[in-house]
Amino acid sequence: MTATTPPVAEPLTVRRARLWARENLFGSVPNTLLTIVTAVFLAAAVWGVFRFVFFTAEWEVVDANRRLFFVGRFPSDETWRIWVVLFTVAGLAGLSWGLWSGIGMKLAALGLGGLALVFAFMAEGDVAWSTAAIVALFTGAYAAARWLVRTTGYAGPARNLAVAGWLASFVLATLLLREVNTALWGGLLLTMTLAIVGIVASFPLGVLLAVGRTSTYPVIRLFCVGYIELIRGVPLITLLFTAKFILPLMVERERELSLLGIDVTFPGVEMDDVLRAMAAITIFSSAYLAEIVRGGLQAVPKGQVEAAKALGLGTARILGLIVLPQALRAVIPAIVGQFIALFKDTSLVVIIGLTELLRAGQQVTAQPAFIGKQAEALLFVALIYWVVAFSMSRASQQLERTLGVGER
Amino acid sequence: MSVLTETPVQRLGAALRPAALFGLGGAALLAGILLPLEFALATVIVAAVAAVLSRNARVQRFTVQAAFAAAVIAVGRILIDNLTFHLDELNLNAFPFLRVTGEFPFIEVTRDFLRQRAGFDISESSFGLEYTANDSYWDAYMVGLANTVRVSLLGIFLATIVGTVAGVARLSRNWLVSRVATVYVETLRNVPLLVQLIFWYTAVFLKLPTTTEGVNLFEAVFISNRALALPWLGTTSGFGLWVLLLGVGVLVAAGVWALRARRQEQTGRPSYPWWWAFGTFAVIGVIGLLATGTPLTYEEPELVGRSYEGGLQITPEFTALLVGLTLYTGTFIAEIVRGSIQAIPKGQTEAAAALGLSGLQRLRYVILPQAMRIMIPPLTNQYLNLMKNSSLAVAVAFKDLFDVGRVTINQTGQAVPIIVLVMLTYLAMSLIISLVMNTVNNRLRLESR
Amino acid sequence: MAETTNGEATAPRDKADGRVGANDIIICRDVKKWFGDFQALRGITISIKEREVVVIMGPSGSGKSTFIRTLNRLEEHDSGQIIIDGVELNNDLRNLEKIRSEIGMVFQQFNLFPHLTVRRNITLALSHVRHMRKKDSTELAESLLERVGIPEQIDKFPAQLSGGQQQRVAIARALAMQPRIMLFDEPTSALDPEMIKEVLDVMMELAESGMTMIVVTHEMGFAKEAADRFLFFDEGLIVEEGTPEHFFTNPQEERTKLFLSQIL
Repeated sequence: MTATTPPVAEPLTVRRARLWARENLFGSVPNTLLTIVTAVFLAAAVWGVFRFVFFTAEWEVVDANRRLFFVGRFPSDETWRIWVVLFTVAGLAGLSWGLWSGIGMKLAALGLGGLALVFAFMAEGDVAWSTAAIVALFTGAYAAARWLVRTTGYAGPARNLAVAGWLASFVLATLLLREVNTALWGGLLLTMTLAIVGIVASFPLGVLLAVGRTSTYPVIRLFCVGYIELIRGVPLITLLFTAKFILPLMVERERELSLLGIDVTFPGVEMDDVLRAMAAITIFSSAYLAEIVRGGLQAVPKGQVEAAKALGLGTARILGLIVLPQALRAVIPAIVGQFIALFKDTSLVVIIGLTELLRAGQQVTAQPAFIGKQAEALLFVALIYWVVAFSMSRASQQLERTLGVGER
Repeated sequence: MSVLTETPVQRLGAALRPAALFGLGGAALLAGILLPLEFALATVIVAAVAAVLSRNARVQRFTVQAAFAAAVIAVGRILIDNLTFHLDELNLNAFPFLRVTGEFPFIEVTRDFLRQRAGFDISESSFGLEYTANDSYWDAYMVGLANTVRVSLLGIFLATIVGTVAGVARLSRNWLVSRVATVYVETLRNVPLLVQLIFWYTAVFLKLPTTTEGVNLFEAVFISNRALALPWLGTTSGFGLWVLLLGVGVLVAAGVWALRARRQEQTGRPSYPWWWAFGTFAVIGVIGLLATGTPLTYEEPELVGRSYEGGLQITPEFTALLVGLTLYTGTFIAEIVRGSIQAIPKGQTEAAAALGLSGLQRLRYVILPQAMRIMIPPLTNQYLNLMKNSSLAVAVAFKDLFDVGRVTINQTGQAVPIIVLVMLTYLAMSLIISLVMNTVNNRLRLESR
Repeated sequence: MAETTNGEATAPRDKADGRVGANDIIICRDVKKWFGDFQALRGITISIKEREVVVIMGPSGSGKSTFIRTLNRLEEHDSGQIIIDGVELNNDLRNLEKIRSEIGMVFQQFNLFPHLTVRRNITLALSHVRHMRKKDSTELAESLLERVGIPEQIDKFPAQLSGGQQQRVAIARALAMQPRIMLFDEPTSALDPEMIKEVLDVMMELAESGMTMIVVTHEMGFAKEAADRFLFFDEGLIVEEGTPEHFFTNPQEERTKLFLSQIL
């Protein structure tokens, strides 16, 4: 039996398009004018960009220096360490994506997996192999996770194992990578290291500061206010400078003290440039996080604390079980926003001489073969930053939407 | 303990309590600083144990805070001791600002160390400040500060405009316009500012043709990689007086505006207060011009050899910094504006439309005023960010406050006082901006009552 | 004659039939409290016996909420004495712990923990304060939910329940700690009318089972049936106290009469 399509179908879509165009682009005279002017500029800009990217630009500078962009001057014979970490991350990410059902964990897992994938591009020679390996690991782990959940239903213990796995991988990565002198770290590797450590370290510090900031103990509150306002009032560059020149003088010294007859030794802490940068970034970000979390704390109704007190719960328990879960949930979008800002701020470490992604981009144009290719190199660098930051902000929006729907 | 307003004695006691606490706190602080470090550490341990064991809520509050304060003091002392120890090793004075004198109060603040000859050049300065390598570090600091202020003020102004336009554009019903604005915001928001600055500087402005091959419009406007040179106005001796007269003119015009505005409200008939105000101002300005002779002269830039002389020269460094800051901060301001406008209930637009106001009128009289009240706090944040981000000028070779500080540290080796000075300056600027914006915020609220 | 919710008639409450205990479980002597310059409690002196049901009424701002909140130290009283079950309420932390474990409180805004299930709301304090095992606390939670009439809601989140159900969960949560005294701060004021009855029924059952209750409420019906004693608060003082009959048939003070005329 032949079905006849209504003869109106074709003209209907065309008509709809025209209606839409009339309303959205040419509604009135000024609107039409606006559309035309914008379209002209847009066309010119797009044509200019197009011409640049495909015709005038010479992209060899990017291709020839892939390694520099991704891992800086990391010695070639030690690259296996990075690959180990990448494969571990890819596997764990796939596992996590399969084991957790919450949108937050899923996005985080996907993000980390994607990150590992990005690094695959640094491989000299065949990019296809490394990409395929990482994708295979990810999907394989994911499939294994789904199978496990479906056949045995042991999601809970498996998740605990996965969390242990992540912690272990963190330790593993630190141990493996620290064998290589941090002065040689560079490119995206350094950027991500600084960002991840910064995020992981500044979050608990920021929460502590926020709790102290709202404390009923005046001494603690005063201290936290002072810290937060001081750090928020100065540019990150000044903190980086302080960390580079002053901080080492403050901590690199052994002190022996005699306390009530017992000898106590305070060991000195040696700080290389990367550690100094991490310290500055952590201190900087924690102050901003503190303000964000403080907003969340203020959003928790006072009655929650009262009910908990009436039940006999102690202050620490009230904070940890009742107040903080609600407070943090309320400001997750803002917290993720701060993480994105932290990621972008890692670019500032060029000022103290570290070679992360941006500096790598500058250095390649100093090579005699590639002088004058700033635009190409910087656009590539900008692209990588953009991809990571944009993904994070999209994920945050997705999280916002999901949490908002399930809002309690 | 609440205020017992029953007897005067109790009232006195209550009033004295804060003073007593203050005194006690101060004494404790001094003790922590002057007594050997072991005392502070011992206090920490003792107070902490007491806090855990105490049964009384009041006592516990006290001991917890005592333990915390002692810990902070102890850590602070260790850090500063280490610092001075290392500085002594390097033969540097940690506090070159202070000098011990023979007479009371035995310590005085001195700027001698900053009065030394700077020895480095600053290629551009703001607000007419003159500077050469023979001037002191303090002068260099002033020039850097002026540069920072100049780029921050201009940046704040331009970014607000760009951001507002982009924010409104994102909400436009014109599909093309709103999409273009969205692309602008989403692209530039997710790339670090430093990357953008370096891009503008190295990939755009430095790539402009050289002075001899650059653009030359009517022998008066030059565009090259050295500068954008424009004809400008020079000042003569009568300029100061004229500025004064203009100031008076502003006041008088304001008065005229108020009078005409009141008239308009009372009679309902249009009295064009703005026109009247401007007219008054213009009249006074012209009178001033005639009275002081010629306070301004017209200067055209000239191409002399490979550089320009005269006129207004805008360097690529400054332009790159300004453009980068404006476009980057503009994206955040756009989101703030968009959010504030969207936060206004739809009923407002509907009511305004029902009254017959056009789209632009609705925006100007109903939407934007309300949106402004919501906008001010996050906008303040962005202004502060812009001011702090101006410190990235070092990447584009623009001598701002931070860069001057950096060079000074390189030359004198005195990292501690310079960094502290620079940080304090930024803090002060943050405070000023916050104060100004807070006043604006409060004013907006008062007027709505 | 009082009517119960079951439709059976019962005799009016009578101290003589031993329903109310002989001991004073709450003793307040000249309790005063200031908020800054404002004096919220001007000297409250009252004794409440075990198993007594006391209803507190009064205009807003009269100090009734402040008073019951001082009993479990959600507010600190500035002078006077409060003695709960022989233990004085002061800055001593051990005393405070003991007292808080004997008093349960139900709030006007329910104050259930929105991020936890009903089950977890009830068992949280049991695990962390009473250190009960998970099995035991869950059993207790289930039986309490049964008692307040909503056993099937145990795994839901508070937002999924109606106001009346939430308040009943709040009552169960407070009861889980096995208190000797229950405080109610306007428990039905935030409820829609059709849900008030279900909460009052639970409170009624609680009263009949012998719990010492102090209830701040405007619900006259409940007050008449369940109360052993009425307290009328105004401007920080107990203006008048007595049996329900006394209040409704023969109030003495002018202010009492004025208040009753406004709400009856």
